[in-house]
Amino acid sequence: MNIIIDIENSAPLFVQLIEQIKDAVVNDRISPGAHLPSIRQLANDLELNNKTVAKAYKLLERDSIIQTRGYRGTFIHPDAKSNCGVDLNKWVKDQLQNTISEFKNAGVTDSEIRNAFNDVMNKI
Amino acid sequence: MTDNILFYPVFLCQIFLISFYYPKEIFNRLDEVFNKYPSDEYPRLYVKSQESYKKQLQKFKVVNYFILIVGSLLLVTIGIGDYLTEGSIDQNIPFLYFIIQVLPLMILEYSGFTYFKLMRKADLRTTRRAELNPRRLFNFISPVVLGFAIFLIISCFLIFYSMHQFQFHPNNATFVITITLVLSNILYGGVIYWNIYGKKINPYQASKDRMNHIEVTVKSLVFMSIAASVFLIINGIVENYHLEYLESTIMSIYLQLIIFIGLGAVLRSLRLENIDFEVYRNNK
Repeated sequence: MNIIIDIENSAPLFVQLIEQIKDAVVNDRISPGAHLPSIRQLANDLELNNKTVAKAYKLLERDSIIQTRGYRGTFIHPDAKSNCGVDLNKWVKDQLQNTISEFKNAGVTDSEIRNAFNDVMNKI
Repeated sequence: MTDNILFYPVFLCQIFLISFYYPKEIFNRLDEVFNKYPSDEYPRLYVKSQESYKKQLQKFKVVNYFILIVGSLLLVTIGIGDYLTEGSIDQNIPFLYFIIQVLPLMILEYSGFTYFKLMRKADLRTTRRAELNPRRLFNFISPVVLGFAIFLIISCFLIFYSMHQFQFHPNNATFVITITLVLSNILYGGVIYWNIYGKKINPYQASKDRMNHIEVTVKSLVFMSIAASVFLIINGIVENYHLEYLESTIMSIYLQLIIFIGLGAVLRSLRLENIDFEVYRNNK
């Protein structure tokens, strides 16, 4: 199975990588348990920085699409297909939207929300 | 003269194999590429004009003919010297001549790197492609063969150390053997690692061709390591049993063997008809 990255595409490179791996899982082009190339190999083949591929792998691991088994390498998660349906970005956006709507209904201004948000983010 | 009788056909074989047979094979192979895959149909294959490559190839041919003549004269000179003095032939002679013989091949290899560098520079595609399959050492070489190579390295150490009563000293052969074996095997290991996990040097190369290329390189280097260990073991035995007159012959056989295993394997295994040249067309 091939991964194709377009460096002129507006989507960040790590996002293109994530999307293609997810797409391959959803369309059964790659099966659960399949061994994936190492970060270094994929980065060299795609002429990308190791950090870009590492970021994509880290996010895929967080979403349980892939799993790292120590020195054995990286594999497709057994539940990868069902986990592909979970969109954490969308969930975060929905949650924020609901919370911000509540604040606005209570009369909080936009700048107050932004300042509060920045303060909380800086503390975490 | 009678002691050295075996050296003459072996050295003659070295002269012809490295300065005539393989250069001729390379010349014919590249000439076939130029004729079958011209620059107007396969522009990606040529980063400079096709004519400039043909000129370089002609120079390669002439230089090899010159080295062939030098080798033939050297053989005659050794023969005359041997007839007059009745001594053993220094094993450095086939080695030093080998250095001269491989110079054009090394220059060709270096120009290959420059060629691929220019090819990567000229590649203006914005898309990059990679296989989502891991490459591992044992995809390319059997563990048994690799294990045998390691076994021979250890055996070589043990044989040499036992010959020198397990004494390691910078002045005895064990030091030279240790350095030679360690450095050469580190080099082979490094090249193998670079081939498997390193960057793709030919940006257009088809995935299947790349896998074949890696396989041939890995196998060649492991067999070269085996050949180096065997050569050192034989050399040690020859030294131990005072068979010095065989040293130059063994050295020449070893040098031919590494060319046969290295360059020969590439020419035999990576046949032009099996390489995907369609990737060098402009519309792909």
